[in-house]
Amino acid sequence: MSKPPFGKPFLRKTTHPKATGRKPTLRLWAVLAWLLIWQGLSLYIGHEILLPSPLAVIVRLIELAKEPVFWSAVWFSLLRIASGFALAVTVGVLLAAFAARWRRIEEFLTPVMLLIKATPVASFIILVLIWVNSANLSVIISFLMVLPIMYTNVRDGIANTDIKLIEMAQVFSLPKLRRVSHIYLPQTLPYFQSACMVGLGLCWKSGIAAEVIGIPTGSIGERLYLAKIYLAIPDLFAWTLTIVLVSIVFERLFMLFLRTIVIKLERGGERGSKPIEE
Amino acid sequence: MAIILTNIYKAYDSTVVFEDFSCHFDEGTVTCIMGTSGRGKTTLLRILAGLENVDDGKMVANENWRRSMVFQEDRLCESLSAIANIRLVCRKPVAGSDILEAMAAVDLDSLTANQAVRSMSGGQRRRVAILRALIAEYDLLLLDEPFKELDVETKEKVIHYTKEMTQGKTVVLVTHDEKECELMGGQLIKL
Repeated sequence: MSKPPFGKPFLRKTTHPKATGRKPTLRLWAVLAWLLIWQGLSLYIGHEILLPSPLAVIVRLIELAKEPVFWSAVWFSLLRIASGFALAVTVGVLLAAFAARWRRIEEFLTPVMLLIKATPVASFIILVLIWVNSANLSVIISFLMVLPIMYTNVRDGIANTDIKLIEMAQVFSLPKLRRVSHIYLPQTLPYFQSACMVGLGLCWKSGIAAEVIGIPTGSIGERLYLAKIYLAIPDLFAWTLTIVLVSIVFERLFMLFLRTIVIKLERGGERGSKPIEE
Repeated sequence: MAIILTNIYKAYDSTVVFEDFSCHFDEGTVTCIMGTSGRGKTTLLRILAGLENVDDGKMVANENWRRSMVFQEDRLCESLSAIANIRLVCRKPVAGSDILEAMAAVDLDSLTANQAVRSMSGGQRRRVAILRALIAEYDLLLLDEPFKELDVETKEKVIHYTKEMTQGKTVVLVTHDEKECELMGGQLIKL
């Protein structure tokens, strides 16, 4: 084999996540490095009211966690935001299925979904506050923020189902249930999972924002608002950390639940999945 | 009952595929369709499969006929095993031993049978697609270049098995290979 014209290859080996196709991973050293930077900045500023140290925040979080009111606030917000998310998933999937089946429904829904996507969350919060009790505000806001994402993704997933497999199902006159479980479901699932990932983050952000504006009694939003009023910055950071942790746990648990459902569906739906031996 | 096409006209935009085309497929016979690319062989099969409508003309066929087909592509469900792919299209339960016997006839072992088709080779997938069409209950079997990805030895074996399994059935085979026509027998239509 002849040598290339230059001594070294022109392209060097890349380890960039996008180029290698590997997901960026959360490394402990990177987290510790950022905590150190935070600690350094806090020491440099020297005023807890401007930037409390990570240690002060964790100490405050432990103190808060000892109070029953902390857990009731977490439960209050979690229940409502999760309900809004679940409602958006259900309604979004159903509407997407109808829209994929009947073009008129898609045409009818398109302006509403575009409007919801384009409207600032603050406008919705103020509007909904006029219409409903502030206690249920985060349910509606989470629902409204997740709905268009779920609807659009699932509808795109159904629309992008491999036409060749749909034709195969048509020729073999496959029953509807088998078409859904073996053709539409596997091909729509990545779109649904992606919508869930985006939606889970968004429902927490928008839900808490709604609570901060609506100030429902006993919510995390109310606690954040009070921390702002009394300039209790360690409290503000501690509550923020709580939101981040709860949303991560919620996201992980939901994705785990989703994976379990998918495996069960694939196993249950697969006729003849049981290995056959000679 | 035969399938009779009378004076059919079919066009895609400005490209006319069939104009005043007529032919018939007798029940229980094998018909081989040959012709150069772009003459409408696949379109004819798609019309027979109910995937395309004719623009004009008449097609007489029993609407309740159950169809089975080997497409030009495998069109298998990637995450399912070979057995699950075959069972997916069967209206009645099929015994595992029957499927394994059919697979053995085309040189596919039980290990392959339980393997997800996404991890199979092109030739293995092709044979699964053929078996799926042969095992499904049908009145009309449509084969669109079904043996093209098989090596010579396997091809002959699969053709013999297909012929044996389709005795007395209505089969329409599209191919470029005259030898496949000879082996399958039946009438020949050149487009």
